[in-house]
Amino acid sequence: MNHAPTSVLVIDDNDDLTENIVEILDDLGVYVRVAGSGEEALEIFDERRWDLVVTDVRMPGINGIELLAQLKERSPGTPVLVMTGYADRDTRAAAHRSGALAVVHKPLDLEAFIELIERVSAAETPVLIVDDDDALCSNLTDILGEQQGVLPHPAATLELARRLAACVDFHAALIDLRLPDGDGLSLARELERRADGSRRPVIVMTGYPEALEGAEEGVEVLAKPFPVPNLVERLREIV
Amino acid sequence: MQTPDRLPVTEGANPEPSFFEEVTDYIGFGAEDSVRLREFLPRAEAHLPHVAEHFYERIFSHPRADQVISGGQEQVERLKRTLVEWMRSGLAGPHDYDYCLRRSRIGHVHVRIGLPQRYMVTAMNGMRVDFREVIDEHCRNLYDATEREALIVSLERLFDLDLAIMLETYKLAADERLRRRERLATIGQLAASIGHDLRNPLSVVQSSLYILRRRVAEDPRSSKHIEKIANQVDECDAIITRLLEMARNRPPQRSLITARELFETSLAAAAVPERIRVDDGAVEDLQLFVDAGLFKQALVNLLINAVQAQEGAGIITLTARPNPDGSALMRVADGGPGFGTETLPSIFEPLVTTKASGTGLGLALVKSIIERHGGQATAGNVDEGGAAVTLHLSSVSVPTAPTPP
Repeated sequence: MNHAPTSVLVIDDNDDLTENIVEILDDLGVYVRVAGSGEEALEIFDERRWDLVVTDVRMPGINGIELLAQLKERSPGTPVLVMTGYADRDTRAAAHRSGALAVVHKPLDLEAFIELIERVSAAETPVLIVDDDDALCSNLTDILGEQQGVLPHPAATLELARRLAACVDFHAALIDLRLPDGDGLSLARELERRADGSRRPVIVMTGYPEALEGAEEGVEVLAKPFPVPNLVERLREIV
Repeated sequence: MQTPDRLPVTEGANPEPSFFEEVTDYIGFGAEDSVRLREFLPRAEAHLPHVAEHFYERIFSHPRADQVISGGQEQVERLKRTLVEWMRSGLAGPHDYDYCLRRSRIGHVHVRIGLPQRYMVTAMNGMRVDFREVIDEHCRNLYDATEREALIVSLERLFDLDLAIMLETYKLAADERLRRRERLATIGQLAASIGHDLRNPLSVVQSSLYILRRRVAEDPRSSKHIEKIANQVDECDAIITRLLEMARNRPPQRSLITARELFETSLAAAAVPERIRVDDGAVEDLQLFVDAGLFKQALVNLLINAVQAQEGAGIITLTARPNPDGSALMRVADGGPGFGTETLPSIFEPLVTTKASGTGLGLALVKSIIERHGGQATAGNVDEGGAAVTLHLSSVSVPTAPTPP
């Protein structure tokens, strides 16, 4: 960790746990703030720019999923990690829809958590991933996150993806063709040709690539299902 | 081997005597019907094989029949003989409560093999028609018009009675399933809530350990105890996961996989120590159509039990083989002390355990997983004394053709 210290906001109603997390991150030179509730977090959030927000789900007052949605309204580009004692399918899906970076189990795997914080602070290459399939999206987020310097930003809808794109200068984007609120291709075109005339690599994923054949110049098409090593290789070239 | 290769015939509850009384009363089945039918038996005897023949012709004209009957010609012949015996005993009586229990036992077999009620009802009605034909065409000269009419009424009543018992058996089986599901749902809600709440304090313990671990790195004795606590925290977390997994009760997502593959991935996941020898000589080439993730979970549980049952050197014997009737079995047996006779009957019930530190969820989860696949689990002891758990896979889980149904 170089330049400015990494900043992390932790939200959990269990004081003993947040105290421990502060102690651990303090040792690593990370700037940590703690909120005991979603309401308190919303007050603290605007104080500064956060490299990472970590929130529990079950809390008195607004829960972590609602908090996530509100934070993403204010600052779509801030990565939010959701942690929960039991990630049932509904929680997972809701977190994904609202743009959580990932859903992790409690007790936290602290080694992995610290690694994530280091990655988030060092990441200089934001990559947008848009897919409404929860499982595929989180897999791609994982795979991309392992690449040096890459910070994946997952989004389940065009709407969230557009808000993200408005505030984050993505180096590359990976977009599913069919999304719940529209056609991924239109977003791909917007992202590929920047207002300033520069270009960004954009890959469109589809289970039916024949329909797109020859239709687009700059946009790359990737047929689902794709071999992961090929995708990783391709992204490495791009990034 | 005391552990049964074949399933016990009686499963589930029996109809009450009051049910039998009420239904015979309602149908109007009486002693004179019994007498009439018993006298009819020797006259009908010669025609019974033909009725059975016709019955199975009807069954096989149905495109999905081979999903229930998959044991080939040999099984069909056996089934025909059983059906003739069923007709014979139906006519012979006596039509008392014992008769009701015997009929219900056959009903439970239908429930177990997954024979839909509509086929059972249609098949019985087909037989009614055949019996009318036997009376009208072959016994024409043996009865006058009044006698013939009376015999037909008695026969109709007998069929109504058998049908009522069969349907009652289906109802009892459904009640039993519902009760079990409700019980699991209650455990599930409790589990989800407890699991969730327990994970918060576990998170604190675990993160405190993380901090402590760095501080005491140079003190071997402290380190040893910190690792012990950490391992126990992991164990608690694993118990919560099992509890939640059982409560979730997700339906199987089937794919094709061999029994050998399942055993191999499970052995790797269970981390069977080297002191235990694994004998997989009885694992035959067996293609399965099951939820690989759920089956692996079940097998890992059985393997962990088998390891824990044996101190020092031990053995785990694995079996997988098809049955002639299209079903199959998989078994994990160990060289430990075996199940105690008093715990054996309730060994698959949730929260029953023989281990000092067990939660009684492992085998309940195994049972839940195999039942979600339409199969059953049985437990017993091998001749040498060790415990054996057998998974009986229904024919749905054992594709005969290379493509799944």
